[in-house]
Amino acid sequence: MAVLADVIVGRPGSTDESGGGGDGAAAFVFGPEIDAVAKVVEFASVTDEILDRWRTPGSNSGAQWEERFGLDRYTPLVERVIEDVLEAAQTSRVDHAVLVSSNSAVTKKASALVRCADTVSISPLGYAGAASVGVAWRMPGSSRAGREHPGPLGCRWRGRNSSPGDRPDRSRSSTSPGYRATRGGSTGLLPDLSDVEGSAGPGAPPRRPEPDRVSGPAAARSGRWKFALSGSRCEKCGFVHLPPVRVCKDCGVVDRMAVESLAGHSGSVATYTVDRLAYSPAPPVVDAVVDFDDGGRFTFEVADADPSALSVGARVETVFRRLNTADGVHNYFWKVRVQ
Amino acid sequence: MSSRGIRDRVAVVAMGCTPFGEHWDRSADDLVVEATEELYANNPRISRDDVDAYWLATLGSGQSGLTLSKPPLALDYKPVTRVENYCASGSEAFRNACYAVASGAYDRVMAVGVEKLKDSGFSGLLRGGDPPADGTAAELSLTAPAAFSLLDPAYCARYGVDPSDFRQAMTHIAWKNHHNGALNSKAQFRSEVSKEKIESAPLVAGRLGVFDCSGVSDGAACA
Repeated sequence: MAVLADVIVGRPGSTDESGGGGDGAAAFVFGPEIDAVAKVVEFASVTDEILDRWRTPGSNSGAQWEERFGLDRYTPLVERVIEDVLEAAQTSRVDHAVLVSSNSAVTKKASALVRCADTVSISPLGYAGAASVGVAWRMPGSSRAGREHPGPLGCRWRGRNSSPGDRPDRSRSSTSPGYRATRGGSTGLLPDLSDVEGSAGPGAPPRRPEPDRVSGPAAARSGRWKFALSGSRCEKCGFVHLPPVRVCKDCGVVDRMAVESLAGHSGSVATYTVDRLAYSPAPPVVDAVVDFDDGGRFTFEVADADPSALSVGARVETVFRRLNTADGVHNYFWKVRVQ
Repeated sequence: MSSRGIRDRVAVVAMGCTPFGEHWDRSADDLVVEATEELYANNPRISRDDVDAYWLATLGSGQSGLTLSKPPLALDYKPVTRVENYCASGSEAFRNACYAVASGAYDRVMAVGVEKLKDSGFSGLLRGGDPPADGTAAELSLTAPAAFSLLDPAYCARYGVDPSDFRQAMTHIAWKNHHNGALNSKAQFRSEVSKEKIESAPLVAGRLGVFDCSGVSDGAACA
């Protein structure tokens, strides 16, 4: 007997978590041909070495390179292995083909990639690691995924259509300490990412690098700005600069600035955006350019943001928050909140 | 203050350019060689020895003049100046190459731009190498599409433009760009896209959808 089993845990909002990955197991018994439900006619294999998927032992979830790169590399392999196996079996067509891949760009193109088959199916529960090929295997004719595989091949799986009691406890994995540390967001609450508006395709968080660690000396030099939101008001013309500067942007005078804190002040939104591509512990990033009532303009991240509550002219106030954490260093600064 | 132009003092005598796209199989070095080889192939009267100096533009696909001189073009005793100026880096190399000829310092120089963005595995443009900072610069945390998308609500509010009219204008621009791209054998995207598809595309930032934002690409060009 050969048993294939795997559990796929994705990061919150990832393809693996939101339907592209699944947990499953399949078992095959090998024996005399007379008892067999299926017989291997021919086989072929082709391999290549690329960085497409990786997961270190003990980590909560796996990671994936940009899918189109994998698609580019897997496509010729698929074409070649089909050619090889058809040649070995001395045929040019098959009734049904099963294609499994850790790369969802490949499975999305299953029919186009396997043109020698009348029908092509993929794993009914998404990528299931080592179990994928087992759970995807179906007898000819049973092309629709059922709740449980009828399984003359001894294959059982529970997928997304299982009853609630059977459903893998994904909420547990997504609130494990490892995630809590990086997902705190500005409110300390765990955002429900299942309905995050406009992430790039269903369940695919943007692939962006995490922010740089704050520089200790730079933060120390700008302490009054960073922690008290202190800008500089030109003593000659009154222009307010955020962050503080030495040369007046308006009149050009040098080193005639008065420190002025705008912490707790209110202002109006000059413009705003929802950045669905940027890294944030609480995506998506909502930013607003704010004009303070007493002068001064700065671009802030919006805390506790509901993009639909924003408009040009909306009233906001400043709040002190954590923007992100990098290398174990919390980056505290100011955001604004709609009043 | 004065500014004197250099009109009619410099001519472009040869050019080369790679196709733009996801060139998984080619490195930045390959792209540089491909662009310059096309230049020489199309202009047999010009040889490598005729080029006295180089200006190289790259945002994040190399550092210093070595990006050009060391492996890809194997240049000896030819100065290479690397310039970086965000999306205007290529124009900046071109401009400075023009000034080098206009000044009389050189008879013939080459401007080369190269970018290999697809190797990072990240979405969108990465600046890379931001200087260590106090972590307060909002502009640096916003992606480029988001920074540009800020103009939409502000423009509509200031000039009283109906947001749906503004969206239509942006759609027309994306539609026109794809129409032009379909005619260009070196363009990354070579198919026309319907206005309906542009308007229903997934959003990247603000009201900018994927067709409103430039694709991330690999390529090189020289003149």
